[in-house]
Amino acid sequence: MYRYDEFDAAIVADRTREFSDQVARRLSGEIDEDSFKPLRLMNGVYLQLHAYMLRVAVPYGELSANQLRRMARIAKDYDKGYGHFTTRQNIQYNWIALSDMPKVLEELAEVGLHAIQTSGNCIRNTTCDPLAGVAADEYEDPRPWAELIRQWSTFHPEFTFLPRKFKIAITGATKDRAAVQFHDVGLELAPLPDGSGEIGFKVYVGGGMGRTPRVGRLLRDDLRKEHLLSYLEAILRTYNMQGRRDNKYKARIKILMDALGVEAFRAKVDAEWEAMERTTVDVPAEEVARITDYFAPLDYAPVSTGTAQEVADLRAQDPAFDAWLNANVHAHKVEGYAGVTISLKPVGGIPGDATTDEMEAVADLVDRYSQGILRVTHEQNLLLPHVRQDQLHALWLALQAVGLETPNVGHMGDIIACPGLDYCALATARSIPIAQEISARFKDMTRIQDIGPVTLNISGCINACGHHHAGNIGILGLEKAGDEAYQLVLGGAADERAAVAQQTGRGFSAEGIVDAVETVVEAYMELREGSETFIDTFRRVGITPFKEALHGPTSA
Amino acid sequence: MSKKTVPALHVISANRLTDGVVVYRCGECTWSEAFSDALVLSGESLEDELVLAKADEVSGVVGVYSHEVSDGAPAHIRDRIRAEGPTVLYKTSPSAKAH
Repeated sequence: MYRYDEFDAAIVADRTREFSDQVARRLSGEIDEDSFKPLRLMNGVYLQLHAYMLRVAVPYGELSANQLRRMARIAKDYDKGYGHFTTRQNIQYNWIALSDMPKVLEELAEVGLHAIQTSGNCIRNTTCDPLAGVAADEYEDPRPWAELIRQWSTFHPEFTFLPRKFKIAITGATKDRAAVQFHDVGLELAPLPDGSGEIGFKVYVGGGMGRTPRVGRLLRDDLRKEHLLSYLEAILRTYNMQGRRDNKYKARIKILMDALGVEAFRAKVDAEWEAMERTTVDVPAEEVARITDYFAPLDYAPVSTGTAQEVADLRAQDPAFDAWLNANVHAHKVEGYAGVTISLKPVGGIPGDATTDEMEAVADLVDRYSQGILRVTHEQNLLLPHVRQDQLHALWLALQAVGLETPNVGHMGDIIACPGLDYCALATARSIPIAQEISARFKDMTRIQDIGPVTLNISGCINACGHHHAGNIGILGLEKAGDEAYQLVLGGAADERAAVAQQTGRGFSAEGIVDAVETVVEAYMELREGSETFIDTFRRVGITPFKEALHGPTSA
Repeated sequence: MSKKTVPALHVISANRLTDGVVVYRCGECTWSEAFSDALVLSGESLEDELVLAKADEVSGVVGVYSHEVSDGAPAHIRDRIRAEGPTVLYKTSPSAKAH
């Protein structure tokens, strides 16, 4: 993985010192909240319902075991003994005092972690396929490019005060596990259309969630890799100059694209790009190679050819191990290896939360089974990317010992939920209790295996931080006449066939929404043909049968 | 005969600057973490006390505002959650450990 050099360490240290001074001046009253707020946001510090919240960046989701241990220690020493992994591959702490923030940031900086640009109207953490570099279906590892984007975007002087936040995601595989089409800019490494076999970028722009969900529009499919940064600069410059600043709900790049149309937007970006002195932005091939070296494949000691049979025998003997393999273990590009997701969605639990003890236990397992490296997924789980298949059973037993073996990844129970009204100052309804009740309703692991792969996303307000628009089953919590009310949407997808979920009709109470989800699942089980997943069936039959299951026959 | 409207009752709340903890304006220009200590006000008294409370935004509290109360409790769920804490038991909460 990338290791901070002296330059990286110096800028993080400088930023920490600067913010420490700003905190001291705020606490003394020397600067007021209106002046301090944009400064603290740029350092990842929010004020939520009960306390300050600190969002720590995990660049493209990659962490070392030691970094995870430091996160665990921060949770223990400065918070209430837990952290929350987010839908943008970061970690959030809900209870850190403002007066402790400088010390926390110093301790994070010691292991190359920071909270820079995790909030505010700037370029945020670039997210990535959690199987980057090891996915069996990968054209090219997206991480070196994610690292280049990180270096280019950090403290970029022109893009520090954008009209609104800006989010980039990147994938390098045929299956999109990074939801790139729901980002302001989504990048997909793929063969160039010129038939040369060379890999380049497809560039999607204007995807997003919130009040106006949009699937990103393909701006071009032929961007040569060496032009990535200059083209991004052209996109950002166009947005920075033309994006709305009069209404924060109309300020994202997707709104600008709606207003201009794709062709006109593309023309402006291309004009900006043509006029640019690109050699001052694009990085020389030698520097790309230097950064890529940090992501060179690890030493994969060969695994015995008998391993596959051993694993098959073990799974035949133990249905629980079999269920875990089916849901939580992923194909790897190196024979004899696997990627393993640790579900942070125990039955009835809070999605994405991990205690200090759990983080420390996972860090030990990461050292023992994954060469010291793990990933945070945007689905609020953790992933070990370098596991030997002959150690899968041992890893599973070790996870069982610490209660982290839940075999529900990608199935009912693997719920993605924002913190909602229990924590968030923006929320209009609670999301976590709904997630817990749905998880408890679908606690039978045999049943969820039978239901098959399905995504379920819950947002506690229209800002959609739970990504409900992209859920196969999506729930949006709102306030109606002083009570919490929940809308149910269906048919969203965050993968390469991205789609915005559709409304099912009138909403449900907090008591009714769990029954409604079960009704939808039962309707799917009745309708499905062969091995269709939920989204396959939805795409075939449309929303009408589900609406009728929920609300009765529709009128002619 | 004219019908008198009873003004809604309010309390004044904020977050403590140093740690973000929810606090309530209580008597004698102070703030308390306990909702039960909060001054209950309405009408002009509320407006006057809000002005005084906002002066503490220099270096004591953040985000001073007032919210309605009803039957001795915050009227809106958001303010109830602010008063009582998250409705969900995070794994390390003392109540969670007791179960």
